[in-house]
Amino acid sequence: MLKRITVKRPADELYAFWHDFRNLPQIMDYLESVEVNGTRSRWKAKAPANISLDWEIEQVEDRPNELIAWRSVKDAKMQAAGLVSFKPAPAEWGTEVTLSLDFDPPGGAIGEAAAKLMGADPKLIAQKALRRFKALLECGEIPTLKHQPAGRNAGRDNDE
Amino acid sequence: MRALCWHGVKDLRVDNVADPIIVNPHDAILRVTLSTTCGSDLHFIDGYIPSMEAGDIIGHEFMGEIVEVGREVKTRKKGERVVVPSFIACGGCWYCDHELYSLCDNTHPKPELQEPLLGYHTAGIYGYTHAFGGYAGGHAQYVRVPLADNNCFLVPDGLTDEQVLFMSDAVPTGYMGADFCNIHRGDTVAVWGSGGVGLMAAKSAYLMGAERVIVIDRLPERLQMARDFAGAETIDYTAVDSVLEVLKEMTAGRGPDSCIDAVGMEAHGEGIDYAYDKVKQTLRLQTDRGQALREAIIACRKGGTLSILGVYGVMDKFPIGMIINKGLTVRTAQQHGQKYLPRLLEHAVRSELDPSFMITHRMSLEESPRGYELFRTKEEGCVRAVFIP
Repeated sequence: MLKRITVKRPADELYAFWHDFRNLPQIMDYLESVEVNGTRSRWKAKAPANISLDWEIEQVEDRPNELIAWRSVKDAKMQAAGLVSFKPAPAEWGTEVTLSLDFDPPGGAIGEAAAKLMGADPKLIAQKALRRFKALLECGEIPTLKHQPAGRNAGRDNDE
Repeated sequence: MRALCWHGVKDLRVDNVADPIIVNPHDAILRVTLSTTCGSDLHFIDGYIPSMEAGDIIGHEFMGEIVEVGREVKTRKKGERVVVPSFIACGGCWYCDHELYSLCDNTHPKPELQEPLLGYHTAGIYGYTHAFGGYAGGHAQYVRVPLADNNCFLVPDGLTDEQVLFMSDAVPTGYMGADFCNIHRGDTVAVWGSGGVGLMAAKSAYLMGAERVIVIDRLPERLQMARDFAGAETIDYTAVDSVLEVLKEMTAGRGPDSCIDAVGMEAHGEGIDYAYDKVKQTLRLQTDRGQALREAIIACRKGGTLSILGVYGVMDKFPIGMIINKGLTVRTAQQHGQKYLPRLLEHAVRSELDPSFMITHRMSLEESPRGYELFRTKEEGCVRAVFIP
C-alpha cells in the first residue's frame, strides 16, 4: 500500500509542510479542509452538499524530519490511517518520500461518495498526493489544465 | 478568441473558444504575435499518434507579448515581447537542474497517460496530445504559459518577430542535434531532412566548427535552402542509387562522423524498406516509417555519433545490431530549449543566425487550416507557414 517519490528538497522542508496537516488539502485534492487542534485534527472531504464526510484524526507518531503517522479516532465516520517518512536520497537527488495510506470507508451513501471522490485504490490516491506534493515543493505550484480554452464544451474545459 | 482546433484526422478548424485565464500563480498570458507549423504536428493530423481530443487547440511553436502575469511571476512583466520553448520546464526538479528541460518532472498534468508508453513521464508540451500534457496550444490569439519566469525568453531589441519565432522549437532542436554530435575539427556531419529542424541542425553544425555539412532530402527548393542558408552540400536521394555510396565517395571511404536524423516517423523513401514501412504504418501495425533513420545508421562511420531529432512512436525492424557492431553513440531528446535559448538569441543579435528565411507562407490565423494543408503536402514550396493571429 505504499508509494515512493523523490523530491529535490531537504527533508526538514518536506517534513515541515507535512507536519502542518492544514497544508494537506493542497496535495490531497479530495479534502476540503483540515482543522488542527493539538495532536487531533478534523479532515473534511469535498463531498456533495447533502452528505457530510469528515473524520477526526489523531497523530500517533512524530519524529522530526523523519516520520509522521496518523489514524482515525476510534468512533470516526471514516477509518483511515497514514504514514509519511523522509530519508535522504543519493547525491543531489534530495529526499526519498514514502507515503502509505489506508482507508476503510463506511457503507451506504457516504461510502459511495468517498469512493467517487477519492477513487478506490489507496495506492493511486497516494501516488497522486505524492506527485502534487513534489510539484508544489519543487516549483511552487501543481500543473493543471483547469479552465483552459478548447473547441468544445462552449469553449472552455473545467475539469483538471 | 479564435483558435485552431483539431477535430479529427485531417480535420482542423478555426473555432471561437474562451480566452485563457491565469490559473496558477506563475502563469503568464501571451497575446500571440506569430505561430508556426511544425512537422511533428503532422503525425497527429495524419492520425499516427493517439490521445488527441476533438477540440484541442494545437500549435507548440509561438511567440507573443505578455498581457498578464500571475502574482508570483518575478522576472517577466506585462508588455514584454517573448519567445517560448515548446516543452514547459519547472526550473526546480533534478532534470531542470541538469538542463534536461524536456524531461522536467513537474509540468505534465496527466502523467498516468504517458507512463504506460514510456515508463516515466516527460515535461508537458503545448498543443500536442494529452499523452504529452494536454496543454492548449499556441495557434490562437492568446495562450497561457505556465511558470513564466522559466519559459518566457525576452526578445532583445533590434530583432524582429520573424527572426526569433523559430527559436521556440526548430532552432533549439536543430542546435541541440548538432550539440549532441560533439563536433571536432575536421568533422563531416550529414543531416537527413531539410525541413526547419534539419536546416537549423546544418547551420548549427557549422557554427560549432564542422568542416563539412551534407544535407539529404528530395525537394529541390529545400535543398537549395540548405546550400544557400547553411552553406551545406546536398544530396537528392531520389537522384542517386545509394546515399551510403555517395556519402562514402564524398568522404573518401570514411563516412560522416555524425549523422543527424531530422525526419522522423513519416519519412519518404524508396525501395523495399520504404514499401514495408508504409504498408505497416497504414495498417497501424507500427506507427513509424523509419527509412531515414536506418539510412543514417548504415551511413555513419564506425564509432560515429547518431543524433536523432525526428519524432518516433513505436517502430519495429530497428537495426540495433548495426549500432552495436559499428560502435555508434546514440544521442537523442526532445528539445531542451531553455538550455539553448540565451546563446541562440546571442547568435541572432550578432547576425550569425537568422532563420526567418524558412518562412515561405504568411497567413492569418483564419487561413491556418489551408496553411497546414500546404505544409503537409509541401505544395507551393512550403517549408514553414506562419500565422498572424
